[in-house]
Amino acid sequence: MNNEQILQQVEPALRQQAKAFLLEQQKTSPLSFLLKALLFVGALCGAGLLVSGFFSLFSARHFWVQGVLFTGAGWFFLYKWQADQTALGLFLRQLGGLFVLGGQILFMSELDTWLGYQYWWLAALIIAAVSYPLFRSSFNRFFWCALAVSLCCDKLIDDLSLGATACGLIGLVLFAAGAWIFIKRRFTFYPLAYALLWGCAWVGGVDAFSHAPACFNGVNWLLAVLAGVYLYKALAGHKKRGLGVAVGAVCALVLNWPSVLALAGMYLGRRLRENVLEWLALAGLVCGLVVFYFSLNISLTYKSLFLIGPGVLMLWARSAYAK
Amino acid sequence: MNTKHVLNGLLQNKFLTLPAYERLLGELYPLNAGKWLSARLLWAGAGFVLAGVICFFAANWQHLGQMLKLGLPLAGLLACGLGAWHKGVQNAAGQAFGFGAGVFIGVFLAVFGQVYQTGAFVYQLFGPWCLLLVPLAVLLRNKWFWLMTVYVGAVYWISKSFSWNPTWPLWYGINGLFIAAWALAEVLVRQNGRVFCRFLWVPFSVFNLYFALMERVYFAKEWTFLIFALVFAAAALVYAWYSKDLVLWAWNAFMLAGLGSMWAAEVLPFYFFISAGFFAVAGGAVAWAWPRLREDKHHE
Repeated sequence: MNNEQILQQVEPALRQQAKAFLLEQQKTSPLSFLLKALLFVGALCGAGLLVSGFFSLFSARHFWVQGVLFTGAGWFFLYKWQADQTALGLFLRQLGGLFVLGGQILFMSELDTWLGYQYWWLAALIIAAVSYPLFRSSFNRFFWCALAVSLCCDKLIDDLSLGATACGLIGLVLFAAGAWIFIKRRFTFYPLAYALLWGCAWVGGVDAFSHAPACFNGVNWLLAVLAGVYLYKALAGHKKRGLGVAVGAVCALVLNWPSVLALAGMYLGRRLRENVLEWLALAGLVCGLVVFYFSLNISLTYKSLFLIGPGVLMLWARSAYAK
Repeated sequence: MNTKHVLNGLLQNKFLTLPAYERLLGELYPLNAGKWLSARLLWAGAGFVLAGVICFFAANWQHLGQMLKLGLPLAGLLACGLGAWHKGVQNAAGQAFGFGAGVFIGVFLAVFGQVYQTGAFVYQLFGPWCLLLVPLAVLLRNKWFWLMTVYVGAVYWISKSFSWNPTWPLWYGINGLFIAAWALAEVLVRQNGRVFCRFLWVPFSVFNLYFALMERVYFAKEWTFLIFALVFAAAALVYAWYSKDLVLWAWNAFMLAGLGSMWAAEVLPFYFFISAGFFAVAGGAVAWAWPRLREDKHHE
């Protein structure tokens, strides 16, 4: 499918503008990933040298001033070379992005001192909320949102001494919020969506370490009910999905919640053609299954049978599906 | 820019509606659920069965007889050999069987050493294993198999040279990291003609770093390893320039920066700044070489 065919799907009134937009996009030749990565190493060294040099000169004093200085310089680099698509432009933008990050860290440090260290989460939340509309870098947005979500979840779990069920519910809410952003294709909020999924994985990790060995089973009943409702609706409408949802319901009852959500993430990533989401979910599934395996309170022989059984079942399902 | 990015840009700028976007995406990238599910079920199923079999034998190892202990890896070796012969070594399945055979050779040697309590050092396992892997590697003509062979040989050489010490996990970590980085470079720049020299070079570069580290940790007064490593990396840099291999150039430049940093840590003050300076110079060298060694430049 070429651009002309795509443009046919655009409303006639907007077609000329869309064509001009595509021509503008095609003018820029994207740089390879390897070059970007190598330039980033250089930018990281340059920014690291400068930030640590300043720190060694001024020590822990005047963090506000240093923060303003670095954020301002970073802002200048980002916007001055915004349209420059050459390697030099990219390098300077990367340098600007790292300056901004350094400035934000200094701001957060100063906020911590001002608010008190028990309010780390609030400092991170403020930086994330203020930075999101100001800086368009996906990495910067993700970094601060992920930090804020992780610290907020930690605060919630620690202060209220939440158990496995509450942890599962928090994970479920974070996953649902992230999935909603993906489904609605709100590209501007994709870094936030990834941060929410990170938060979900973070809560899973906290749950595994705090509530072992009886972790993860708190929300199985809820997941199974959700899968059952979906199964009922699927059977009423599209019968083809029935088997898949039935397998999902069994998984929801048997596995731990991070593994179930990772399976849902893989499905979502595939449906939405979001490869990064699918691969991240796969990594989450592997981690979830490893934790699940070690949390099983049975002998190694039974554990091995527990692995072989579903393995054979999967291979059988594959051959049956192929026929 | 790929078509999905084009579509994303059009949706983000409100030239397309969400239903139109989803429809176009569906036409461009059909779901093909059968193929997707089939591949994942195969990987997951095979992984589960393999892990289960390993766990089963690990759990019952003490209760197995000697013949069974020795027979299992031999049976695996035989099965893999037959599989490779049946499928042919040029076939992907045949190569996978070949890999299996290579692994079972090592497993058999390990079990043999354990059952008969030969009293051999651990490194003596890796020497014969490496030698037995070489003919298989020649037969298979697979760069990943060659890499495994070189890796096994590397373990032999290193463990023969030094008795076990706490830096071993560090060495394995570095080795693994370098191999992963090399694999990434392979995926990013598909230059089949130059693959071989690069992948032979990578384990050697790992030795460079390892020996330099060992020298720093245990033999503070011996400069031989570090000088050897520096000379080797510099020679490889020159080689990369003349063979117009950008990836090798970049790798060597950063390797030299790493070795320079080690040297700086030994003898110079302000270690952090000097190290960062070395890496910045390496980045500059790569940026300078980029337009001169770039792939498409050669074909113009």
